[in-house]
Amino acid sequence: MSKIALCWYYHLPSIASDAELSELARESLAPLLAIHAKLGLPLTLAITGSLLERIGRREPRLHRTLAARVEAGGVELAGTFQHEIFPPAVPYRHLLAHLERDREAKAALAGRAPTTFHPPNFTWVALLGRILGASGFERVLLHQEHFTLCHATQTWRWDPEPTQALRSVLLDTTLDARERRLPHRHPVELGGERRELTVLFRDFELVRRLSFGTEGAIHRPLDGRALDEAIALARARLDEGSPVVLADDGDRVNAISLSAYERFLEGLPASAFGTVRGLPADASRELAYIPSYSIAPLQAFWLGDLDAVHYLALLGELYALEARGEVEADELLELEDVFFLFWKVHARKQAYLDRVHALLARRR
Amino acid sequence: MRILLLTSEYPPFAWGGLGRYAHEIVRAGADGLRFDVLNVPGYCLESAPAAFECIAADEGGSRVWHVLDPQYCACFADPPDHAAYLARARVLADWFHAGGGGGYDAVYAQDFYNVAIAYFLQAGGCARRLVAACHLPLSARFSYFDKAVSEDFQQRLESALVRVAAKIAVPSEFTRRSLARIYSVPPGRVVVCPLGVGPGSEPAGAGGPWLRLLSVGRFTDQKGFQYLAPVLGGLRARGIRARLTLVGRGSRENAVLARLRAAGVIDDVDHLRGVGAEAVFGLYAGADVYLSTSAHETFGLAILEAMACGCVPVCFAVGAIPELVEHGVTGYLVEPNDVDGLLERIAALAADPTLRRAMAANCRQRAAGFTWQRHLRLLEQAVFREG
Repeated sequence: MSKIALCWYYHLPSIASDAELSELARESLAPLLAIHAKLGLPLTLAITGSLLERIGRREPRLHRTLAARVEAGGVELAGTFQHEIFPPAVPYRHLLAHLERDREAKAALAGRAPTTFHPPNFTWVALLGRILGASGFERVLLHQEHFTLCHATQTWRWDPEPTQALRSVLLDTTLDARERRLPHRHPVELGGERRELTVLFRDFELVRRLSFGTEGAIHRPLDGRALDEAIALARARLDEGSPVVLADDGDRVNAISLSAYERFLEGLPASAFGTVRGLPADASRELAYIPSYSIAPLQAFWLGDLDAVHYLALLGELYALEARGEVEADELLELEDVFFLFWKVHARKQAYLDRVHALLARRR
Repeated sequence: MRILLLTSEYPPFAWGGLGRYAHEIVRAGADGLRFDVLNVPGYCLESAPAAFECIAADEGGSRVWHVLDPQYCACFADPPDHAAYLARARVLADWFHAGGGGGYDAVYAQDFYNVAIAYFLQAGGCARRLVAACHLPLSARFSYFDKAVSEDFQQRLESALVRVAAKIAVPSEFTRRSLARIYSVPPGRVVVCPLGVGPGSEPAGAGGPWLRLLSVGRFTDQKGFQYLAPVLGGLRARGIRARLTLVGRGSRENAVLARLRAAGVIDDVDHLRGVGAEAVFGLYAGADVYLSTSAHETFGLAILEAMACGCVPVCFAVGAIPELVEHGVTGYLVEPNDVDGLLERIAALAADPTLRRAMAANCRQRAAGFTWQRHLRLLEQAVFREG
């Protein structure tokens, strides 16, 4: 039997209130840690650097608990970015800054820098491999759609009349679904030195069955059948022999879902659990190139939501100000957090836009 | 001041807390405040009426209309029909107004289901103001932004309610925050009006060798009744003899009872369905510990009622519950999912009758501050009145 690693991703934008932070801490992160401590099962957490720092300020007890669990080896802190950014929209120097700030936050808590990387929303840009390799990362979690994309052949076709637009068509060349559950090697060249990142794919079918959205089994704690099916699928995956990665937003584990989540953990052998870092990742296959990609709904969002388009334009203006020395890079990092765009009601965006406008007003 | 209370539940067409609330405030009454009730059940009617029917009655000084309308009910089918909902709401509002209903200082809409009727009543001149209560914001269950797709319709109605209501009454700070974070409602428009409870009663006294536990609520995922089996099992393992009275019914009833059966503790449970509001007070008074396993509460009325009867609550510290229960003084708060914590606190109460009595007294004293009269005064001063 192979190993399963659970990786929960936590983030909050700077405009979230202290009450929201407290709710996240009290009803999700703290009980998640408590469950794993009680059952003696390790896990991986990818908490944005800014959220980790805020937890340190506002929820010091939880911060201490987390530090103790990391020190004891029960928790692996994975790297991500300082804020939840959309990497294709962020310039290279800011990607580095986000990465560095996040690593500092984690090193301050854990005493060492992370070696596993969890991209926000599983959004990847092609140059990230090189950046991560240079920063000492050894492995990265990607969505299984990335695997499909890596193995797709790109061709082109003309749309029918009347547009006759030229359209890219990606032909999926994979023949066996199990391929996308295997670890792969991704070589990166660093000034003549060759390093390798291990690429692990989150098992989306398992995530969907267990925790995704509000329909996964853990969100229906009294529906034992759905949970049993998720456990059966996890067991089947473990029997396949390759490492299993279950990664999702951390708030999916919350006051409603905690008990069912605990039952899921109890439904698998304790010896099967590990951190992502501890997975036996025998990567015999190579991914020479990982194209930029984000999961399909996000791509549609970035192309179709005018607030998102506007946000990108505003960022462009801010970068121009930064180049002229009129704003500092540090001031821009938190404004690159994209989560405000996804909150339910548009009015919530105003606080964010007020900050953007305040910076733009400095223009000489 | 004349208020038209617009609700989708009212006895005898009541299934949960909303109908209970509407009935309580009408029954409590207050000087200078007169309620009439327009009850238009839609979403919650178990079977739609065959034809439009209006049942009118006088209740104390209030006029109550129950409007049973199959066309309106059909709008809440799956999938719901937003356009039909708006059209039918307008017809019902016009019908009410044409029948002489009017002259109200405010129409007080309960939650979002009848928001369009409230809107058309006010727009048509039936009431000068539109104010609303938001007892359970849809968002309260979610940390971030995930929503079940089937709830889009409700989300739309709730958004509309927040937009059109001049003032919104909510039962707790937690609820106020939930509304604010989703809808960016200016703070002055949301008024926290804690719910009330009657005078309660003295605890019934020692119940023999058994520790008497009580849980009340609809059988939904929110109530966390999956924790009952491990709690009862844990008490047995600790040698504590306890009996649980479980009051309620709902979609998850069979699943909960199956869990209790599978855990071998069903014999420790008395399940009562369909207990009336009055009778439940007798159960509170006869219980030692009120066990709340809720994953969230926007107020926790059953907890308050239990406290009023000296029944000591042991709860998960979620939602608005910490606003009611002071840990170690008027009950115990335990971190979510911490079954051992629940057991530890229940065991402490089981082992120490003196502690139980002291806490029961604290509970009664605390609950005495929550009256329906106080609730009505807040409504009158801060919600119904202009300015």
